[in-house]
Amino acid sequence: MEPRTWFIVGGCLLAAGAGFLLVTQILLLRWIREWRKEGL
Amino acid sequence: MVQQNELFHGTYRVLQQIGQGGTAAVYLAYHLRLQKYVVLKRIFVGQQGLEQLRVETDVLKNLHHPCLPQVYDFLYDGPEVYTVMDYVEGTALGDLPAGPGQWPEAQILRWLRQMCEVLDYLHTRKPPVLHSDIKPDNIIRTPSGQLCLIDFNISLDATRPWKIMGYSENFASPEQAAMAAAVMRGQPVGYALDARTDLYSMAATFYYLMTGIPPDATRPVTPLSAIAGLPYSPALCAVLDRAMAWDRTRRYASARRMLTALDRLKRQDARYRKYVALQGASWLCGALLVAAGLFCMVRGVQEGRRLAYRQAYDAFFAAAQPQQALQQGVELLQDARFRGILQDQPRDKALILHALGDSCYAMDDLGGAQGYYAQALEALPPSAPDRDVYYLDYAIALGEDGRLQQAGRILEQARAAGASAPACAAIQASLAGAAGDKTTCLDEAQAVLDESADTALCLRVCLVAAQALADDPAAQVPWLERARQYEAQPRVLRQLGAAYAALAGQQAFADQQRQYAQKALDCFVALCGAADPAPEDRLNCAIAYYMLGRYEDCLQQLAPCEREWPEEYRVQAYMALACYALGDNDGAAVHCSSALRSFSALSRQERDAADTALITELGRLQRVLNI
Repeated sequence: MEPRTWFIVGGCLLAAGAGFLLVTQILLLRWIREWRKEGL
Repeated sequence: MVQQNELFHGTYRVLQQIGQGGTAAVYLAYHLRLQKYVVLKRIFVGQQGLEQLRVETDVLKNLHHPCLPQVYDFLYDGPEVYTVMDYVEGTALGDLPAGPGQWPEAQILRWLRQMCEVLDYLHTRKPPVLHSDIKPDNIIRTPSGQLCLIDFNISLDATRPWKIMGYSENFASPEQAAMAAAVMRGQPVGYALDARTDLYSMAATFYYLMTGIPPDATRPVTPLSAIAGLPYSPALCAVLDRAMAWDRTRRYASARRMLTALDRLKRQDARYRKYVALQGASWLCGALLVAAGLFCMVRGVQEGRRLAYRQAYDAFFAAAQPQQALQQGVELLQDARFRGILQDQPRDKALILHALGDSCYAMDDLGGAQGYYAQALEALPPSAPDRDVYYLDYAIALGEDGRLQQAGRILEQARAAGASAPACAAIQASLAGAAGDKTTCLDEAQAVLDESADTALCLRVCLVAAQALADDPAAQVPWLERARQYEAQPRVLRQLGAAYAALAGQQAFADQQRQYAQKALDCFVALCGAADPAPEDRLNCAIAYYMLGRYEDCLQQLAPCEREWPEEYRVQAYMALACYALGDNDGAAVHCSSALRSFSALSRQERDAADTALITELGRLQRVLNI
């Protein structure tokens, strides 16, 4: 594969990974906060 | 005694009495400066009030916790003493309904955690503080749902000598009740209260909330785990049972320990387990994506480097001029981007170093050539099939530089490394050639040609033999022709063209002059057909054209040469001769003058080494043209 293709694929994967982590962690944090209010 | 609506000490507007106990009366008041409700607590003098008050205020003034009331002031009003503290709005747990199912487990857990945190705060003060009167009436549920621990009337500084000041039936720990009984009987007490007393009282409070049954401090209660039909998890019941153990050594040692046990409870919760699993899955997926992204980026960088390396490598081997090749090769080897690639591919590195040696050799830099050949040999993997050629080239460069002894050592090294017999013979031929022993050189060279099928080796041995016969172009030509059969490389063509040109200029071969000149021309035309021919090759080509009488072709070849090599007298001289032959006397005169000027600018050494036939011809032209 061309270097440019590797960079594009790598950049997309990095962005996807970082975005996925950010979104899931925010959701989980909000979730656990709700549960804590309920006593968990 | 304060009255309703009285302005107390100019700051507090007394609103109403909200409580009265055995030791104090409590009033709700309004703090005019802070503009908030406060509690004024009047201590009954003569009923241990002052002493208790001091204890309470000393304890409370140093405590700052969201679940504890803050003490603001300590006032004397005649014989009466008052403390001012936060008014905690809400309902005491004792006024709330209690019993199985009255409070959900989540609510109980949240309250338990809050109480454990506030007890941990109290017990870890310096000095530690024991509340020693925890019961439903002393815990207020605020409108926000948070619990607040109040009434430190009988709290104890755990580090000081103390005497028990009271206790609450039902919720006091067994040891506290026993101690109170002993004190009342005037008996000595052999132990001290500690944090476990508060833990018991707190657990007893929750026991009451969960069952509706007030515990009895004089005998063990039925454990929560043993009560059938309670809507609470066995794990929660087990924690509270342990905190209420009759034997205090079986209780949690501290509120922090109990809090830890409560935190562990959440691990058994299905939602928490789901949360943990989702956390793990989230991190795993995210990490995989990031790792894959990083991998691709690294591959991108590697591929980019590999591509750049391949381009630089091809450009290096395609370089027409040795000088250009040398510069590109050195840059290629020194480029930090390619260091890893060259380490992984030692054969490539050896090839580059060897080609650099060839470039130096072509530029007559024998020292440089030896250095690069030595490095190439070092870099070349032992299993490389063309190792023989590396030894041979190194030995040739050493031999031509007069370092015969070192070249002999290379021959020994080659033998020790298992070089082939033809390779050793070729090295011997080069050594003999360098030593001036033509016979041995030619015999060994012939032996190599007879025995070896390695074209690179044969090509080199032909060049070695031709080099040994440098003073005899007629004998040199067959070896060079043979070399051309192996590979028509520029070096071979250049030498062959020069040999034919030399033959064409010899009187002995006057009858074949035109034939030799044509062969020389073929060689130089092939060289000039390259992408960027050297000026020297163009000049030689032009000379061959001149010898064949093709003056216009000669001038055409010299035109670019004049631009690239303006100071070279030979270019101007042949341009002058060609112009004269074509009848252009003016052009001939101009070029002749330039040639003479360039020639006179040469050093004496360069003039001695100049082409005498050409200079003679130029002098004749000068006279004819009357310059």
